[in-house]
Amino acid sequence: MKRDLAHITTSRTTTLWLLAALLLAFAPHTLRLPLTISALCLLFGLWRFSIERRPAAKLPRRIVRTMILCATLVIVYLHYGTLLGREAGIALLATMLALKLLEMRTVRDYIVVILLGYFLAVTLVLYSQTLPIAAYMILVAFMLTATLIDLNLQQEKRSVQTRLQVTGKLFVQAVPIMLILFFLFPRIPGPLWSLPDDAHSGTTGISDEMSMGSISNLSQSNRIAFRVAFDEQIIDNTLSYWRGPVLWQTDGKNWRAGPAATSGALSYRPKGEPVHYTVTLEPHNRKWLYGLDIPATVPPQATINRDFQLITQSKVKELTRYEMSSYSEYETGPLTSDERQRALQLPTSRNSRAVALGQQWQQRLQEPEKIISHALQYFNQQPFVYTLKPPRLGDNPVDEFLFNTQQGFCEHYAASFTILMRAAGIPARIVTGYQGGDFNPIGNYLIVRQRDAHAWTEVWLARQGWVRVDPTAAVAPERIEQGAETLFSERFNRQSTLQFDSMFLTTGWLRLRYGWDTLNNSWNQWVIGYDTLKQSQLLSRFGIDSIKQMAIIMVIAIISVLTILQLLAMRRSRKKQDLISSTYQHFCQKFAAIGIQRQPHEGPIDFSQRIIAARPDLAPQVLQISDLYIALKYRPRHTQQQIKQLQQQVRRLKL
Amino acid sequence: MKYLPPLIEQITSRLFNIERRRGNSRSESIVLTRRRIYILPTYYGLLFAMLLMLLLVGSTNYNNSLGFVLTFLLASIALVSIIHTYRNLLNLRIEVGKAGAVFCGSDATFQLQLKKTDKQVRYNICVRAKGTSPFITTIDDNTIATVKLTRPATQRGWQPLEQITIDSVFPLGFFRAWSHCTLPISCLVYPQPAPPSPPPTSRSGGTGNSSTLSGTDDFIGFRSYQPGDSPRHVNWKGAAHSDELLTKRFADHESSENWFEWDARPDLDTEARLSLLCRWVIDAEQHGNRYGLRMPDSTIPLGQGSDQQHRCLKALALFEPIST
Repeated sequence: MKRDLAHITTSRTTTLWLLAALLLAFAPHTLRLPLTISALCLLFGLWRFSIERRPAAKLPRRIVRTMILCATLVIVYLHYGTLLGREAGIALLATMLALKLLEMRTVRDYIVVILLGYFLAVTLVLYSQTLPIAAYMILVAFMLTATLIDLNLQQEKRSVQTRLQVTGKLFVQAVPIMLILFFLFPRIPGPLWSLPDDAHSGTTGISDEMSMGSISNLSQSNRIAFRVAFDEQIIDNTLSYWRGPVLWQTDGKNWRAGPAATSGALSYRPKGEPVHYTVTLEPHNRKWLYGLDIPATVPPQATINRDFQLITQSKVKELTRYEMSSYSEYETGPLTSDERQRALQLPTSRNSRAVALGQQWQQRLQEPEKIISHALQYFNQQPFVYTLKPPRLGDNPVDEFLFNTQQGFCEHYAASFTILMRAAGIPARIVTGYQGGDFNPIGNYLIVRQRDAHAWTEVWLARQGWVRVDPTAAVAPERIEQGAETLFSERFNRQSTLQFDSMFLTTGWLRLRYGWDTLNNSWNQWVIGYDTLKQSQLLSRFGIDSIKQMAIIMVIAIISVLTILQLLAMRRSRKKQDLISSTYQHFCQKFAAIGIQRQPHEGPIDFSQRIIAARPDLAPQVLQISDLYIALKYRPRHTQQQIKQLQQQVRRLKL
Repeated sequence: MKYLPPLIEQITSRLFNIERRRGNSRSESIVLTRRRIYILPTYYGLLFAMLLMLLLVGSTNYNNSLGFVLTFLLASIALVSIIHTYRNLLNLRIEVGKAGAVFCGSDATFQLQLKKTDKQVRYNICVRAKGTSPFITTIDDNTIATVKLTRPATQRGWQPLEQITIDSVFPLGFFRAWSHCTLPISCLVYPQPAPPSPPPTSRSGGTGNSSTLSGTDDFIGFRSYQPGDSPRHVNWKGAAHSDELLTKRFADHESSENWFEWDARPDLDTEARLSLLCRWVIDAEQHGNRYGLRMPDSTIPLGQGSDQQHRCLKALALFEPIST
């Protein structure tokens, strides 16, 4: 295998183009890499750029390069404490690539740099796999490929146009094969080896602990938690409670799940028909899924616990799609003694005023139903405010909230309500999750965002079992009916003076946003979420069951596409040219018959001059024919009529 | 890996009997048909394949769909590039062109013509033959490209161009398509002219001693430079603003007839004698003398002009001493 190919040569413009492509690949990394490392990479790039600008300047010497290399390694190590892992790996790749620019001389160096550039391009998608990032990555790959093609062009023939044209052609032709590979290449479920801890981005969304303020923090975020497509009709907003962690244990400030229930089977009695839907959950790095209250079926990747929570084996690190059905009306079974004890647990020292109030209600009202409605009335009639920015609370948060500040978000209401219920002797627990979501009319699905995060209470009543009570609804019913977005964006709308304009803009903007989200949703379904499972599901629909079948069909499909490409290109170029050439051939044969043979090396002009020298009488016709032939053959544009004209003239030529 | 292409070539040629088809027919042109073109990955192609493997493993490990997208996109581009590389050579016609005569010691030049019959541009095609440096050309708007192959001429006589290789790695350099052919094209190599030395006085009288005449004779014009011309006669001024090197010609008043004899210097060996005769012929032509050549096996009658010179030099180039 020859290493030195005379065909591939480097030039200054190629180097500049390559630097531009690498800068493009590197730019998004500057947002994440430490400043020193970004600066270092840019410095090396600029150094090379200045060398290219001044012909006299030379690449740094080997000893200098070695010293820089050592210094760079030390800097990266100091920053990360390691040279392995995702973050340090990217930093190392970027710096080494930039350093390589300082010794890039031979064709081989250039090609190695381009290949490393492709690698840098792929690291762009380790953090985010959105549609714009994908487009950007492909742009980077395009630029790098254009550079590679430039190296493969004859130096005198290099131009931006040729470069882009050839690259564009290659990319367009590659698309069908890429799709075949993407859908049919047998996917092995990863990871192949255990990944370093920083392999996936941090946790988002609801955690398995709750304190005052933890959910209202989340509510500032517009990030999408999950999307839901309903099979039949969308569920009413007041019923769309997406169940997450169930919290039992409290020290008066913080809430957590506590020890998992060990005994007792899941028991419930559904009322009415189940709702069927599909959830596409964004990775949140936690071990649970979300479903509507209460899950009737359990997706294959999860199990259900006694709290009706869907638990997964491992953390959800990728976009996960699952089909579900739920009952919105139900009755649950009896409480175990252990559960009763946990559902009545109260902090020993904190929030004594709240506990006293609960106990007072119990003595006065006796019946749980009466106590509950009284508590809700209490929240409704006292001057409680539902706000995104509640004041900070101290050591007795429930007391402070109930009797002093009276400003809170859902977790304040849920926590206080639960404490009051427990004090009044009613088993109660907090359920966290999401409530509501906005419906995307274009894609026909529900978008649930982080700002829809919610906490509510479940109380246990003798005849019904666990019953959902949402104290927030008593304070701000519109939060439950219309969702968080409408509630909190109203304030913004009121400030707008141009009412009509803003209405018009708002609807246009909304439509645009829904359209964009629909696109993202399909992107998530078909590109990001396409994994081993989805592949086998999709392919089994076409009767492809085994990996072997998959591979065979893939190879056949690729070969067919290549064959079609080859045939198309050959047919296109042949047709017209054949006609022109054969007509001229006919012309030559006529003269060969009278002894004037065209020599192999003789061009049409030379040949026509030789004919005219021998047969001056034919000069006008011969000149016309050869002019026409040259025009057809060598000029890019010609018409069908010109070809006909040539044919006619050759036919009429009488010797 | 280094030996893989020749090995595969050998196997395929055995299998499909390609050796017989390959340019052994002494036709003046050869079309690079499908059967003549081989294609294999290059060193860079293997490097690229390694990159793809790494990307695939990485994408699987991180379960990253966009990683797969890029991996598969790059793989598809490489696959599609095979067709481009292959088509870059397909149906090219390679024809015999001119091969001028040169003196031994200079470069033998062979001209070939590459023709295409379709509109597709053929980028960066490399043509070379045994011993020649590669010639790279692109056939775009014109359908014909002239290829000039040069090789040091080290031996007088007919020098054939052996095993021509046409190859292309366009567009990515990951695959190399190539074809071998042999065409009936030879370059005539004259003997190397000896250092200037006066020819012996010929039988018919008159001298051919050029050096004594040059200063006094009338300048009659230019002709193109040939190896062996005296540097004093080269038109250096003109060379500064023209590509062509010209030699001044002088009319020799005492223009006379020279007969150059094989036997004039029996003390020298065959090659040295040929070189000396070569020098004399060049000098005589330069001075406008009439001259003839007497060799053991042939005689070239008196004459003048470039045809006469060519006849004489050709006889010298092709001279084969009678073995005793």
